[in-house]
Amino acid sequence: MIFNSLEQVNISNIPVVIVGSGPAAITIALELEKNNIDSLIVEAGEEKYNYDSQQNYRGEIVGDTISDLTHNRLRQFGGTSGHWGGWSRPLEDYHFEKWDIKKEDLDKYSDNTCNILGIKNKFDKANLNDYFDQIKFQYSKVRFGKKYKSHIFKSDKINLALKTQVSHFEGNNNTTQFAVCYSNGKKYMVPSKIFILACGGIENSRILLWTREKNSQFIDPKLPIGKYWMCHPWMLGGNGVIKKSKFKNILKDKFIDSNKPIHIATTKKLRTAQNILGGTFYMNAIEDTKIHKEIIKDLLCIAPELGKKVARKVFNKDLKCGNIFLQLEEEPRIDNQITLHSKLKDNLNIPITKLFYKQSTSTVRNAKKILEEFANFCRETGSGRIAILDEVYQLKSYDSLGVNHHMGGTRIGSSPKTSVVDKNLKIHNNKNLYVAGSSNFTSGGFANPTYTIVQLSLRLSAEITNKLV
Amino acid sequence: MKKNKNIINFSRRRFNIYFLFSVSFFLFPKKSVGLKNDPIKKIKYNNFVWYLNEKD
Repeated sequence: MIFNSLEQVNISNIPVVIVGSGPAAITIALELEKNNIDSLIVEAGEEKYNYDSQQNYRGEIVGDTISDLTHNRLRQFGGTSGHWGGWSRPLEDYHFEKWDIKKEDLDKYSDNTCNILGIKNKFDKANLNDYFDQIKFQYSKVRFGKKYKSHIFKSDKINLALKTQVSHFEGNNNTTQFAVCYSNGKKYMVPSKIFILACGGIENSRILLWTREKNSQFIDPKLPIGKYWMCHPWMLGGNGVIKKSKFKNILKDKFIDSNKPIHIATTKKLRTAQNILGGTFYMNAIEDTKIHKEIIKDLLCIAPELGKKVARKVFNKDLKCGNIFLQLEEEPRIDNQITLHSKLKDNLNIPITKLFYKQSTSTVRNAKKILEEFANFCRETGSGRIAILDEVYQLKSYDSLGVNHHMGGTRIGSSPKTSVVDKNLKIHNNKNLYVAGSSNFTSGGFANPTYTIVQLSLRLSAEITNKLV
Repeated sequence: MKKNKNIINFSRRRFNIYFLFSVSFFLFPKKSVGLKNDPIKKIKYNNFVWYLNEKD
């Protein structure tokens, strides 16, 4: 059932309360429903975008520029899946090296994850050489609010309360007893057996920090809540020209042929050999665009014979010319953190987010190493020629094209000194408060996070079901 | 008889040449097939540093 406020919901006997209504929250509610378990989803926003509601997501960023926090996530039913790009791919096994969870622990949920995201369970990888793979992303078109509205509306197991904001949690003796909610100007103390915080890579930390500020005895004061925050640096790294047929010759029948850009990812061996974090990159190779002509013009000036060869093939679909965009893994740093603003507050008088973020110098070094190795690969195999943007080549800095993947802040781990949740996603030293979403990521890998968010949510649903049934 | 001997000898030599050629092809390290060892030439132009081969 879907309700426009909490007033209409019988809150006295619901065993699971889920805060947020994005991919993590909806995945969990759907799984619990399969196991005959009632849940209450609490969504602060409305069914669709509302400008005034969205303003409660504003935050201050201290340090390097990243995308405005007011607009790069959505405070509405379905959460940020309402405007996501849909790029989906699991993390690589070596991305879990510092996690308390292994890739195999999540792989068993792959079929169900793909079903929920409406994609094929086919994430091809073709090995180009020791350092690079050609990889395939799947593109999901699922908007969780739109896709699951009718299902939730008809469900007698899932209760969704819109326009209901959770302020904080209350409890004692390490047990969470209530989610303190505000709906239609009224305060509600919602009791439950299990509470799951699933409202995104910023809000999860913010609500926990506010809970701790209200009651420091209830949440361990030593937990690094909000710390080790990460994103996927997304940047223009260079440009170049590549021949699709040469890649086909190298990869033979393993070549991933599609009308989408060719995606290349770094291998574990490159990370180890160069002591860098990895990344993925692609070329926006649309024929006959301005950039296409600019690159050929540059080549004609610096290498006339090669430039002429390339120019002769300008309308050949085999030739790909364009900018190279990188999406990189970022090192988790304790200083990149979400805190509560000391002065500015939202409509419920809760401090807004103050995010401290500094680009890591290792990011630009990683970008240069990756592009340098790829440039050499293209040169040596005759697959193309690559140019690196001078700022990156000089290791000066990079211009972020946007930061839309918010990760960390409630990271998984076994020690309460360096992590917030355990491997079952339960807050350390708390009996029944769990966290779902990318805030749990111990490291970010290079793939977009939603696929892994859904996998983790399915695993959490199994854990909760075991507890309750 | 003399003529026939010559023909046989020639044929054997040709066979040996083909044999050696095919053996050398199989022994050739596969990794270096298609790789060029041209020295690298880096050129900065219009805010980009190009990685080219010397012969480019």
